[in-house]
Amino acid sequence: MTADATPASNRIVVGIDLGTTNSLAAVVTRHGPRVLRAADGAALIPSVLSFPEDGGEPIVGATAKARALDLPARTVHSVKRLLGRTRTDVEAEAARLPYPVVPEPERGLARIPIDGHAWSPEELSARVLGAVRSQAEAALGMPVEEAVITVPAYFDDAQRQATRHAAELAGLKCLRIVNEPTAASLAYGIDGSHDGTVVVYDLGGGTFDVSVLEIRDGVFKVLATAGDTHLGGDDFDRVIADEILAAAGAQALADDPYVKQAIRRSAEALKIELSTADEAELSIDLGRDEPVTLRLTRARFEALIAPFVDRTLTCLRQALRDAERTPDQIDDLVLVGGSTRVPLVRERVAAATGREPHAGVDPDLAVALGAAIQADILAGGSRHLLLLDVIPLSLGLETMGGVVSKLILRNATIPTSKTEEFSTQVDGQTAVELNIYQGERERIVDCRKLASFRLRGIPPMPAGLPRIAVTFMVDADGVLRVLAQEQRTGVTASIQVVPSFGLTQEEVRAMMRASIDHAIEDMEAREAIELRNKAAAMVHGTRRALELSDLPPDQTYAVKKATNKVDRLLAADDTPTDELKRAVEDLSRRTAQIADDVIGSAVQKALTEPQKPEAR
Amino acid sequence: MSQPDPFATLGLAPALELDLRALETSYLAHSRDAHPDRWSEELRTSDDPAVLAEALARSAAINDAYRLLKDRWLRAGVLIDRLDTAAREATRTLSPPFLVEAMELAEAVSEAGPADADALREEIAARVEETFVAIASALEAGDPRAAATALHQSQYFRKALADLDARTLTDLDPR
Repeated sequence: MTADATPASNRIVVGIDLGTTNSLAAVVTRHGPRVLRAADGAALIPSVLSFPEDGGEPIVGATAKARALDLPARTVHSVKRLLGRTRTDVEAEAARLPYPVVPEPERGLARIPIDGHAWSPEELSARVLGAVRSQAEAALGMPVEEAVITVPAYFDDAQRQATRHAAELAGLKCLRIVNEPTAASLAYGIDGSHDGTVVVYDLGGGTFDVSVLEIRDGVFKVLATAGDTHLGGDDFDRVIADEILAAAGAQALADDPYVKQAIRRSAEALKIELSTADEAELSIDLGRDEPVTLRLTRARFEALIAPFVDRTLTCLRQALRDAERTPDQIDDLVLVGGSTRVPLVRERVAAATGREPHAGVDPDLAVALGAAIQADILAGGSRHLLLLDVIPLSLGLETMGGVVSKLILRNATIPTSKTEEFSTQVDGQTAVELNIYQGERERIVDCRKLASFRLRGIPPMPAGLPRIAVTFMVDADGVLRVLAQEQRTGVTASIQVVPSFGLTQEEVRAMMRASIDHAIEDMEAREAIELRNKAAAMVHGTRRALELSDLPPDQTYAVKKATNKVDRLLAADDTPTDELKRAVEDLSRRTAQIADDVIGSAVQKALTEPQKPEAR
Repeated sequence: MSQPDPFATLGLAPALELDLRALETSYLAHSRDAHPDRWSEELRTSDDPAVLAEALARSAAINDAYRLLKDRWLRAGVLIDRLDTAAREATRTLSPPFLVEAMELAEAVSEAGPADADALREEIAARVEETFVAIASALEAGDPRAAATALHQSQYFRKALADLDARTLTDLDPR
């Protein structure tokens, strides 16, 4: 045990960066946060597993990585990309992986079959965590049982919970899930000399996050985050691999696990070489007569990866917009993740932010060091620090007409909770189905369903009378719980959302972009749907009100006439929104008087709009 | 289930004009106290879901109160609700002359060219400020319905302003 790694307190909570490519642990010592290294000084443990041919226990780390070429189909890497995903979610990349990925029969979750056992990504990640834990225990000279584990900020519920499960399987108590860019900002700002607005741009092997933070007096407040859970250095490798395959002139070879692994290796090596050299050449033996030779210039490489870099810049601009900050308000730029070593990435991000990357942060170590600081906070140390993080995607409930009523908006500081009241649509309805969605668009078809449950046992009442309070609560790990309660009777139902699948990267990205592109179209569609709902509720409510009230005949006649007009317009499918709107406004004017003066509050309730979330 | 009063949550006197620095200071002080990171070991490892839910709700209420009070329009809504919870719902229908004016404004925004965007922006910004002043004086006069009406009206102006900014951003942004 080195003096350097002596922990600050007796209780050991380590911070773990569980990466797509590499993993590592760190701990806060009396001298500040320190990485926990192996005896040979290596900090990074490759997140790679190799299954011996004799069927023994998998080997993890550098040894496993070294065997990748000998045992291509028995070597598993990039397992983080499969965490909390279904086989369908990862369709595109499964084809490129040298090992097989199959769906599990029940929910179609991704599984890796080796020697007759279908390994879950959680189990495999647990093995990686186990190797990290062993290295940490050896460095500290004492057992490690508790950890803070980082995830990409853009991980959804399923992916966060899968990470928690992996920790459990590794025998680690996960005290907190922390977002990677937030952790990196802690490592950057710990010394207290960097107060201001900071952009953390985190491009790892398989995921991309960008966060805008404000650091002041030990408070780290995330203003906004954006990202893509399927964008990273692997994609750079892939486009180079495609070039190698083209040079090899034999696409058919790509199905061979050995060829896949060999090409992946060479591509990675070329990428690293091109980060310093202007040109690189490689010769690769694919088991044919002649080795394949490929010469690649940096210019060509940069042209190939430019589309990926552009995608990250779109996210960056989105995050700045959400944070209500302009590039000239950025005080510092922190680059994290191995892929930020690529010169094009550094240049483009520096140009987009108008800031040179901060030099004092090691892109490979910052996340683990930050996780260690968060671990120390939870263990009772670092009392001057406070971390305020956000939820990356909006959460809502399906309401009438397939519209998502958002209860929690993206970039809300967590923990957060929101309660809204809803009602029934049909007279005598005794149960409601609550469908929970995640995403930025207005209609359910454009968002991702997380879960659904039913609230039963509502006593029969006219439509619109039950008052169903739905509470969404997001905890400090970014995990959602939902509670529904009928207010008149106290009937309750609740669930912890355990989603059956996560969002695909394409969906998240497409959702984000589409929410901007389609904002106007969506609003119009939404307004039209809401108007129709409102009109139907008014017709129903007014007719009931007329039965109960005794208005003078001339008023009754006028209200009936206005009601019938709305009803007629509703029945015709092609009624222009404007016309319906005018009729509804007319009716609303005529009934306002009744609702206010004549009729009891119950009917007034039936007249009000079913649900209308507060405009932002 | 009534949502807690944001002013009370952060220990502030209800007011439309708020010192944002003081608001943030109070928010951070409360967060330092209630954030799950600061929970005691007993609380964090509590087996009682009700105890945990209550602690979580407290931390969430602090975050939510800050969100509502930081933005002057949301803050106005809070103050209106304090006087009359039905005011905002009851004033949703705006007068036809106002709606005509709002529609004309929206049209002007969608047709604005780079040449007249600045003048239009100034005009709308002035209307936004006018409605805010109207809200302030209605609140002062203890008239939540008038304040609520002005708040609803302000949404049209604020949306027009945002639309105009979005238009000029996409038109002028070469990226």
